[in-house]
Amino acid sequence: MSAVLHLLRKDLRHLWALALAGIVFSLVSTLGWYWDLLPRSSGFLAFVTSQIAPMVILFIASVAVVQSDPAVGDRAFWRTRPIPPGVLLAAKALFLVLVFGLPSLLVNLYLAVSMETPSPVLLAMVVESTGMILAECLVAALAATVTTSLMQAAALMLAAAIAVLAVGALVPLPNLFAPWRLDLPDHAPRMAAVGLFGGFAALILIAHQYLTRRTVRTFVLLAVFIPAVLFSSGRWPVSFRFASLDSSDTVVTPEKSTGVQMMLIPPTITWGYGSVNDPATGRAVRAHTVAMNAAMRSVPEGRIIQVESIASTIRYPDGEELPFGSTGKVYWPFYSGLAQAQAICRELGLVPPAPYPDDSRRPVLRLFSVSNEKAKALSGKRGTLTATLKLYELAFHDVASIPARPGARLVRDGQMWKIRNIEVLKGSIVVALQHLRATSVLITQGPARPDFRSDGYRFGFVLLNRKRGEFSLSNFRWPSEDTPQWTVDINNHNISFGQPWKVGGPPIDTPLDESWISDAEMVIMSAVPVGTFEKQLTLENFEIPQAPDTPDSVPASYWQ
Amino acid sequence: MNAIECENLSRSFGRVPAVQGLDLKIPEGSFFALLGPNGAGKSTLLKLLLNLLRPTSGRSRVLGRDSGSLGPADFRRIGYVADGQDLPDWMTVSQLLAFCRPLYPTWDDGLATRLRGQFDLPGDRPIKKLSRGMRMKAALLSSLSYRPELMVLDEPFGGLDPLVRDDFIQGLLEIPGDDRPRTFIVSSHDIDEVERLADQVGFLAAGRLLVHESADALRGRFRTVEVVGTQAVSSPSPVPAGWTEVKQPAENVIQFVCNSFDPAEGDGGIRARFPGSGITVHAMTLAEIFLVLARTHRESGRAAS
Repeated sequence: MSAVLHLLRKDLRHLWALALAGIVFSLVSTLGWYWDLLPRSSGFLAFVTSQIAPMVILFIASVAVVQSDPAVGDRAFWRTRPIPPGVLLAAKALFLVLVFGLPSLLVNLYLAVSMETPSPVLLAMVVESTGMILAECLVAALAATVTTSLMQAAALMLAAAIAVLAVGALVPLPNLFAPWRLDLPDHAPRMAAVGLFGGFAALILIAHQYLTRRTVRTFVLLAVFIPAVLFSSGRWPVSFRFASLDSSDTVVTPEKSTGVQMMLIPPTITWGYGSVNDPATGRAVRAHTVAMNAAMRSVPEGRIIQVESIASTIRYPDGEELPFGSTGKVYWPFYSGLAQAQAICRELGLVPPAPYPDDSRRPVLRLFSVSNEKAKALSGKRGTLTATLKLYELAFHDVASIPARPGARLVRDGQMWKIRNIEVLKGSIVVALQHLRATSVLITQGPARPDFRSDGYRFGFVLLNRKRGEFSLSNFRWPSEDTPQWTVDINNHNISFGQPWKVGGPPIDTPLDESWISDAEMVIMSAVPVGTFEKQLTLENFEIPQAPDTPDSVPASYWQ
Repeated sequence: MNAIECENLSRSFGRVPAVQGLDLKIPEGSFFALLGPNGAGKSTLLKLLLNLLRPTSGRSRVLGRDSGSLGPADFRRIGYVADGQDLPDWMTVSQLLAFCRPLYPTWDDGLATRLRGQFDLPGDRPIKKLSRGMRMKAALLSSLSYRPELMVLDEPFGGLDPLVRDDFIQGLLEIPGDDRPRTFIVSSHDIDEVERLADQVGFLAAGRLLVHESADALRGRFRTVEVVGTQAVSSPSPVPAGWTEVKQPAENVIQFVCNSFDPAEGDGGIRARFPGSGITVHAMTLAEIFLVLARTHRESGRAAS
């Protein structure tokens, strides 16, 4: 151990500036967002400071610490000194753990504790962030082990990445985990497997090179290990199952809902343009998406219906059957602003404002995508369309309220809300609200899962002035997402509040101003699934519509 | 006991042979000078001995251990200083010594201090800012301070000024003795310096060991000979074995190098071939012998090709 520490001291003394930069940028990349240290005016500068610079420093430092005692060539100082390769390797590994792994671990622990993160999420955050950092260090160290300069190491990394992409694109193996295939429903176990298997393979190769110094054989092993790791990760994804520990999660298990009626309203329309895979060739061909207006009945007031997925099939009288796979999650809201206002007011015990400016558009459901050629081939042919819809009900649930003033913050369950600014503009108020969320790809349920959305469909915001007995509802807004951090997701909301309402009464003519906001609090509401149900809709005499000649135009029937 | 043993040792780089079928034994306690022209394979041989390169075939043993299995414990007994060897050049000389000290149980602080003073090495200047000679002296200092049983030096004198060279050699010569025999292997072009030290000489050319014998024996059998006749003389044909570089600058003068001179017999054999002629025989330095060997090898190579 003393020999390891002796060599570690040597590397720390030599590379102290890089080590310090590595630690500083590790802190800045995560805590910079949390503490508002990064420049708000320049997103690019913040991106470079928090994302690019730490990666570059990690690479340079990993390469430098390995190449200070190189494993290639016959001139290395350590080769003719009583320094065992194993001890040297241990010292290098300890350097990377101390400079990159430990700060990441501590920062994530600090963040997780500061944000009152549930322990399973905390564990997942720490494992993910520290594991990813160390896996990156190992890959950089491997590149450094078989090269003699920083430029060579960088060139090798680039060449390997290009080779993986090129070979992966040419060889469509079913179990090949391709880094570019991040559209998988749940890619986290595969990413975890890549990190684990890749890190293990890198360790073996680094040890092999240091112990044997057979560079050609290391390269051969590298060429074997890369596809093996990618294939194994697809074949045997690693699920840490942190979600099963998720007892403190606030997600409500939805009950089965009944009584809600839903119907499709012909005519069909085409919607947008894209591509589908031709099953015969496996190649993408031009396609259009067929959508249909829909109507919903018997939806309880204060509840919202949202679509999870739609699977459709067309059966023709001649026995031909055209199945379309599930369209997956339908993201756009199937409900109106009025429905949201009603749901929010229901939870807060307020009388929904009336009249409320409602969205006059009818809900539109994407049913399926069909290639233009296929649609043309079936032109004039009529059949029976059956669509199976999986739907769920949402209700707005009071999360918390915070004083409506800049700097106010609220921490709960691994999430933090921060009011960064409040601006009064011609009778309306714009609140700049930041939502930080502890997250991990190893979590599959609840608000800590990576695809949890911090948008106007998930959250509702109300300014409430209890002293005056008045409130103002937010307009629907998309958040602007900051550069996502590994384990802290950051969304910036700029929420606009317009005309206030008397609680249980009419709208007030007096515009919102600074005196109004000084007594107000901001109530944050979260949309929680409370029920699921499945509907099967059938349309007789259905004909697949043809794609319009002008690709950008939306058919007039869409607006009917 | 031999400090070094090689059996049929070969190493090729691609199709180019660097060392070919080399057999060599260097007894413990010797000072072995490895001589040869550029590209002869001297550095490759030394790297093969120290497990810095793997042999294509054959084997070698160093201090009783197979070269391929030399490990950290063995390098506590071996010192290696080479031109072009990487040093942690961000360190100062003091830091280099402090770094090396815990690695060697036999490290002698007193010797290190004395040698540093003798080498006039500044302790506080990074090695990368030192001159080439100073760097070599720093490398030597870090290797001599643990009194290695085997000291391998690869071209240590190249480009050093005479003063530095002298410091260097004094450093080698003045390691305090202990009960272990100390063996030195030095590859060098600087034969004049090596001549002061070497008791064994090996001559390597095109990867083959052409000569390996004691320095005294080598010096003893090489002579330059000049024959001056009262009238025209002609060189014997065929040229007798052991005669090389035969020249005839004038009708009555023949000059050649005799590499099989027998000091006991003296010039009697030569006189018998040139009765009545004046014979002048001169001893040769190692440098002169080296040049003769190198030229002879080159000529034979040309003739073969």
